[in-house]
Amino acid sequence: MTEETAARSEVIGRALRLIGEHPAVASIFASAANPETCATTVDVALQLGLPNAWIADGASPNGMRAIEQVTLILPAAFPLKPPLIYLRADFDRSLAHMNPGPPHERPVPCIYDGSLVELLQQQGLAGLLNQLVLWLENAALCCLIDPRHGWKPVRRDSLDDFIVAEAAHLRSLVTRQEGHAVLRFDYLHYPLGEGTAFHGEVGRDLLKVNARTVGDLFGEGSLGGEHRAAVGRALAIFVWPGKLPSGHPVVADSYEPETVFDMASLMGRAASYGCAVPLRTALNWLERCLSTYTTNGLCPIAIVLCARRPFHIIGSDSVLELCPYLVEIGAPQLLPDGERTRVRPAGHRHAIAAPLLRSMSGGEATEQTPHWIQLGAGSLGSKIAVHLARAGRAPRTVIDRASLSPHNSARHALVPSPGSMQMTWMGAKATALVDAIKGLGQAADAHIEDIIEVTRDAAHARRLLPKKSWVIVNSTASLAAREALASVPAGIVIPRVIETSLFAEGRVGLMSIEGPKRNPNTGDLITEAYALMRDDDAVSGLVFIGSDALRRQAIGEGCGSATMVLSDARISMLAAPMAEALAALQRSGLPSSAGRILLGTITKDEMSQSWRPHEVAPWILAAVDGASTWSVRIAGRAHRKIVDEVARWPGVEAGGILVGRFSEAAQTFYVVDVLPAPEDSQRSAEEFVLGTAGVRTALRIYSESTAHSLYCLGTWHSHLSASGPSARDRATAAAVGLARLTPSILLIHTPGGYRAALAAPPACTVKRENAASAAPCEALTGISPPEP
Amino acid sequence: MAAKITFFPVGNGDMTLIELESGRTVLIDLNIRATADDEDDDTPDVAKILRDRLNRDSEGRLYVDAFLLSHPDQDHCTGLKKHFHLGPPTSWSKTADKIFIREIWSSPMVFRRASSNYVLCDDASAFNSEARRRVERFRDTGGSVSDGDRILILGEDEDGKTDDLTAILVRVDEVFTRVDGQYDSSMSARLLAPQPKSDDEDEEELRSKNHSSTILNISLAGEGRADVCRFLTGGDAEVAIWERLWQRHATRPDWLAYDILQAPHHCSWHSLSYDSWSDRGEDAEVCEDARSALSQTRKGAVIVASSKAIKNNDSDPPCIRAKREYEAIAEEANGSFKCTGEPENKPDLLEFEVGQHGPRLKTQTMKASAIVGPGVIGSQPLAHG
Repeated sequence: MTEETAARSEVIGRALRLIGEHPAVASIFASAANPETCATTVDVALQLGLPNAWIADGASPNGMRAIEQVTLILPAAFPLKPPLIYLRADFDRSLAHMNPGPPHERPVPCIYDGSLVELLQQQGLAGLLNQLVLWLENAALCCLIDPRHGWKPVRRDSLDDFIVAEAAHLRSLVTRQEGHAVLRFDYLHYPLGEGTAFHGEVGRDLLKVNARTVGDLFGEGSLGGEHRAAVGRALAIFVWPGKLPSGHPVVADSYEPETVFDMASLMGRAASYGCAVPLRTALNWLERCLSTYTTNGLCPIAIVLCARRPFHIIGSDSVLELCPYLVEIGAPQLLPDGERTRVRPAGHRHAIAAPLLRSMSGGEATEQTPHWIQLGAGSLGSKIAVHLARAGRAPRTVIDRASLSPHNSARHALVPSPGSMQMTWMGAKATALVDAIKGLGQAADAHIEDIIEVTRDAAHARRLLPKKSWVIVNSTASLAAREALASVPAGIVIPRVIETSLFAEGRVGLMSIEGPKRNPNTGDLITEAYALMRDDDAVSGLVFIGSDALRRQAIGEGCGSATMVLSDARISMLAAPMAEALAALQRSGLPSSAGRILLGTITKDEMSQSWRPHEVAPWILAAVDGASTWSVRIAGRAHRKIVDEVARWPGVEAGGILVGRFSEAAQTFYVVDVLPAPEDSQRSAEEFVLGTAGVRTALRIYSESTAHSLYCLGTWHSHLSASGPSARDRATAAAVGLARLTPSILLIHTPGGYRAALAAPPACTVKRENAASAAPCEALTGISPPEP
Repeated sequence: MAAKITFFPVGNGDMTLIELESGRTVLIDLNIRATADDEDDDTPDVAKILRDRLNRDSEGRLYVDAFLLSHPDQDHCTGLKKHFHLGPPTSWSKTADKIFIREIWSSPMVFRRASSNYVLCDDASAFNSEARRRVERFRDTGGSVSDGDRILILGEDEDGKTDDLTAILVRVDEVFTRVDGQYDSSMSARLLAPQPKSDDEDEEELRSKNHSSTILNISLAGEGRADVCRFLTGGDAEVAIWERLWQRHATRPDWLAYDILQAPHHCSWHSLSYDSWSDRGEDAEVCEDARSALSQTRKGAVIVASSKAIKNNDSDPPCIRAKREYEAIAEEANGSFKCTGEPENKPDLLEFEVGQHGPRLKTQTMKASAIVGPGVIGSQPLAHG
């Protein structure tokens, strides 16, 4: 005996010992290994746990024996390959969960909803035996079909012909009354073995069939070449059952294996599903329509029977099982051999469509997903959109003005095709992404447009950003796009904006969700996000680096720049949770009373990440006196501090310093926080004088801590009555305006709400020496002028 | 849903859990020995197996809906104090996490004072105190008691101590369908014993604990069908009790009919015969009336001995002669005889699933521990040279 055969016999010996030790095994008999195949046949008697009374009878009412003989054939490749399992020859083959096989071979049970190869590796031979015993016992108890798992569809695995059909669409055609529908059927007809096979697809469009149109519905053309394959078009007949005289729907509740092979057996099967009448009606009508035509050769048509089961089909939430067949018909005689015309059972393959993708992704196939807009089809936007498209939740509109460049292939969700001249990698990003979405069975439109122009034109905005859309997801990493969305002109209404962006070489992710009626809006939310990041040492250390004020425009804002270096995988790390969050929002709805910021960081191990949500209450709006195009927006944090300070100084005017950011495009001051007035400030019933002690230092520290993303915006003070800016206020505003290149604001808290005075620099250039003389307000100039 | 009856492997002792179709649980006796609680001992950890099968209530308490102590012998109540909460519900402790007993089913023996003929082990005394506490609580509150305070007395006390307890009393021969104070359509149980004393009986004999075992014939529903399984259980009741039961019920044998019988007193010969097995051997005679009481089988009936493995010698219980007798009874119904201590069951349970077709003994699956368990490592010293 060679070393190899000795080792082999030890493996088999251990397996036999284990089988013998199984609690259900009453006896075991192993033959010597087959010298040719090296397979070992083991006959095993399994004692089944049948009800007491059936054991007394020796068998179950459906013929299962208290002790069942099973043959296991351990193949040469065991234990890498599982044993073949055969039941006794006279075992009832009509049970559900039986593998299809020829009648002269012993029946093979389908004991596991998955791969036996994997089961063997996962649970060993003992697990496989446990499963076999469970299967046999369930067969005896008539509970192989477990309502909790679902109805086992009629097995058609070994078939040559396949029909692709979108199950959800066909099911949506089913009504309470029995009926039929005719749909387009495209097919590929190709040689297979000694015969031919069909691969076809049932379309979505319903066809009207009459004597005039029917000729156009059929056609076939050779593909040429050596394969002798042909493509063609024909029609598919879909029939469904109705209701009983009692009014209850017809339910096909007995499991039958596939036995259809000709027209007579197909009609019998249709009758057992309650759809014989509509099938007969459809075929008769087709024959009448074709009666004046003559075909040379036969054309395939698809017939899809629909069986209503007592509970949902495995892998689906519907009770409607679809059973497709192929019949080759002719004209003027529809069925060339009458009732004996051959019928080919075909395998059903799901069309790639949103319902299938949703159910595979843990969602509901029947869920209505909203219309939403993906703005930006770059590395982050494409990943989010593709993640959601694979989950059956694709955007309906994709907007991006850019085209694919070679460097995009490093991080884009799409992959270039091989071929010369990079022809597939030079079109518009939006179009490429929409093509991918269409490949996933969902409709979408591509728009190669500049969002700034879109948001400035009412008709354009209505078309691309209809207000009834669910959201706009802005993944452009473009500050201009954000400003454009935050500042749509009056009279233009767009959907709520969700912004997704990456910072710090993809170590920090930000997702902001606008509140109802776009308050807080995306401009408020980025300002709030900066404040939140500033409060978080770990995040601020990553995001706010450098001190040059002008560089803030480039700090980690997304990854839109070709010079920003980070890997595709790093973007995916943050894109995936963002896509999951979007899917969750599609199911649960957007926040109903506030906006939300989700801030995520990747930790030092480069693998873990943590996300924290922050609810953001609507911001308060203040109009600017005498400047209607300007506005001041005040965060809850700043508002609370102002109110508290006013309450601390009853009977006199109080005040302090505003910080936040300013948008020239939106002509908006975003006040996110206030700094306290310095100690040398003076308060009286007539006026508030902001002092200077420590102000410059405090502002410098604050501004540097956000790398100048947040800075001084101006001052606030209170009025004891509901009055607007006083003459003194206007004078101060003029001085402040003169002293600074950026506009400032003087915010006034009054018992009747906020008022504001704009402190804008004059249109002409202001010399620095003039600015220096404007004390005490010069302390407010938080941004250093750029170096020449 | 299927109901379940599980016999735990507890040596010569009883421990049986009934999971009703309604989801309620009834535990009959327990024998959680110290060795079963010892991780390093091979005795099955029945406390863990039991706990795994119980649910927790809204207050986080693992609970049984009812606990029946058939009679206060050690091999029927060992581990009660250690594993079950006794005392007012308010004193249940999350840290101790003991099993909460919503309702106690008790024989009227708890009213009897201890004497030289009536010595109780620690766990049995604790049970008595708890049962008496619940009776007092019932009296104090005028019957308004809730989970953890409920008690059902199975049989009348001969000295009239149960006369004022009608609401919580089940008289012999009566059928009851309440579990934890609630009507439960998936169970009905007939109380067959303890029976009131008859005039010609020896007082001391009657007072023995074995003679006062509670005998119930429990009818279970499974998967929506009523009475698909009868379970006859009678603690350690001996031959005289079974003989008298047959004499009283020979005209209505259905009262004694069963699909599953728990062989009384761990397969003791003394439940079938007045003769001693060790003294008379094969000459010992079966009491025909007692045998009749224990042989009202339904088709395919299974008789379960909750005992150690049954050896072919003169020990009793379990007794080989009794096993042969039970095998013969089962044979007449094309049924079978099982023993919780037989090697084929170790270390697993005898678990019957009661579905619409009646009870079936579930096939034990092969466990990973049987294949990759440590074997002798850790269970015995292994010398290494």
